[in-house]
Amino acid sequence: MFRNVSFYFVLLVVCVGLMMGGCKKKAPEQEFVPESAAPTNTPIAAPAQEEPTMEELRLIKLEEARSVLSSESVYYDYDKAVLTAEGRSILAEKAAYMIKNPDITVTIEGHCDERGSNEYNLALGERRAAAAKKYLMDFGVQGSLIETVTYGEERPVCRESKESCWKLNRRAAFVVND
Amino acid sequence: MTFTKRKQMNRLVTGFFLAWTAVSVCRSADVYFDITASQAKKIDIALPLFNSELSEQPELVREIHSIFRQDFEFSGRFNVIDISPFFPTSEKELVNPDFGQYYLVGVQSLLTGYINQGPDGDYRISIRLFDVRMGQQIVGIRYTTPLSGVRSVIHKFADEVQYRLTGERGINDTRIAFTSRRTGNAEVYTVDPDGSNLTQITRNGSINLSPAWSVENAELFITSYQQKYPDLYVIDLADSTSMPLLQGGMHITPAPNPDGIHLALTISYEGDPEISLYNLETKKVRRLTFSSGVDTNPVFAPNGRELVFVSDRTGSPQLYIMDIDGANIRRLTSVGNYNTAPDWSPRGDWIAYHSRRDGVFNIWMIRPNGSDEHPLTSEAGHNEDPSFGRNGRHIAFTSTRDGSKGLYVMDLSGRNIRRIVHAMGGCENPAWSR
Repeated sequence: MFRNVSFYFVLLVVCVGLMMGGCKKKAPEQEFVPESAAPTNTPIAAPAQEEPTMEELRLIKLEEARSVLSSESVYYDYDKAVLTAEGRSILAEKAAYMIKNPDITVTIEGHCDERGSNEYNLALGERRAAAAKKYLMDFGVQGSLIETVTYGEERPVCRESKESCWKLNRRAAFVVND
Repeated sequence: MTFTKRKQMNRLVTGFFLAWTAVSVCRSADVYFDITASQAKKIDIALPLFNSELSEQPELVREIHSIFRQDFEFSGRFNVIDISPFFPTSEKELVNPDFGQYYLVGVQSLLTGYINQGPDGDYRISIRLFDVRMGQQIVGIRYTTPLSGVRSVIHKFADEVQYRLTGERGINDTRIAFTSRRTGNAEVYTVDPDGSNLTQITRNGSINLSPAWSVENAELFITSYQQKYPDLYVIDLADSTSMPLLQGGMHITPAPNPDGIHLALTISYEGDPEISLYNLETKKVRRLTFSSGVDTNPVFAPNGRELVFVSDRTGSPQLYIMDIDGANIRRLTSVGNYNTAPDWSPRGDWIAYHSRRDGVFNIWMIRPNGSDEHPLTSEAGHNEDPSFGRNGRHIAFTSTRDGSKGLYVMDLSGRNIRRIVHAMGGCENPAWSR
């Protein structure tokens, strides 16, 4: 009996070891290897040749995700939570990236312009974020990778009271989670 | 203004008031337009308060006098008659006035007071209300307060007078909670309805919205983003501590039921905002609406059995009423394509809200049965977010009439507008304590 337990323990340790080893091995295989290899031609390249740590790789990956997902928001018509044709095409690109990179999770923020009651706008912002999330899920992105939060009119990107500004504030913004 | 100049001024003003009173005896009803006209007969009240020759504190007495005058005039229930310089009072007369004199000039109610400073620095203020015709004291109260509490004491007695003479609770000893971005992010503040005692309640650097008073006015329910999401918190005003009640997702627009046990609010179900009921004792949540689209901003009727709320189920935000169990939903507003921010009068007879017409927001009122819809504000910037005072005669609201969005109070005729807070980086979500 005792022997059995220790056998399973050893097996467990071996398995965990394999899994961790697998991780370590897999990470450097990604596209960063050519990059770090490239500077070999330059004379003072020695420090750059150090293997990036797990943490560095993770940060690089996050930066890439942000450049794809966060750079462009999805915009809405006044008092509407319905996606426009342009909004749908922007979301399609984001969906493609998220399907290829299921380790990335995002928070979609729903925002409104300043007009109207800020309490109603909180609910409207929730609807806008939810509309964007649903569209991504229709493409096949797992719902568990997407959180939503409404900010109503509380976090405008543009602060003047005119349509050119308002249209920038009526948006679903993508934040890549750390 | 020097003291003597003020004194001259006071006599001038007093003279004017006497003359004006004589005229107003026959035409007092049409001096102000009042929406509740049937009960609008005003009571003539005299303030020969605190004879300044007797008192050791002439400036303080003057200040008290002006607080009383402001409170009574703003209540909409009193004509203030200033007769002090013509009826110098002795100390004895403060307790036992010569009612005949006051009766002759048409005074119905009379206030007297006596003030002195105790050895500890606190003020002892005794105030009496008399019925002139009956020759009787109606109520007398003695307060002991530091100088900083004098204003609040006068507000309390003004409300007491209004309650004794009209049966209505006055609005002077109340608070208005609101949010402001003065510090760069939205924090909750409170202020007296006369603009004094501005107090910052939250200081968490997050976003804080939608304050709502608990039934006993001892707590504020708010929405706060302290943990990333718009969560429901309760703030104990005695020590300003806050406690989360519902977290994660979306828990916004809290509205306490007069029963003190239930709270209506908006909760997101898979991205769909729905009206829900939260039991503060059992902590259980019950969903009330099931329509796709926005359902938000519930407010209870004073009987606690119905709710008015906002829904865009027909394509644009409109007001609806339903029973507390979610049944019997009927549409209230039909004109305009943006009607939100409802508040139900504590009297039950009106629902105030704001409506966007031709791109401009104004405060409107409608009967709970959908009749008598009319605007209270017009041609003065955007006017939004109405909140009734506790006797249903006044409304607090925000307005851009003076530039940035400030906090104002008006009566139900849309007149007697008083600016309470200005230039604080935009005021939102006023909520008047009840």
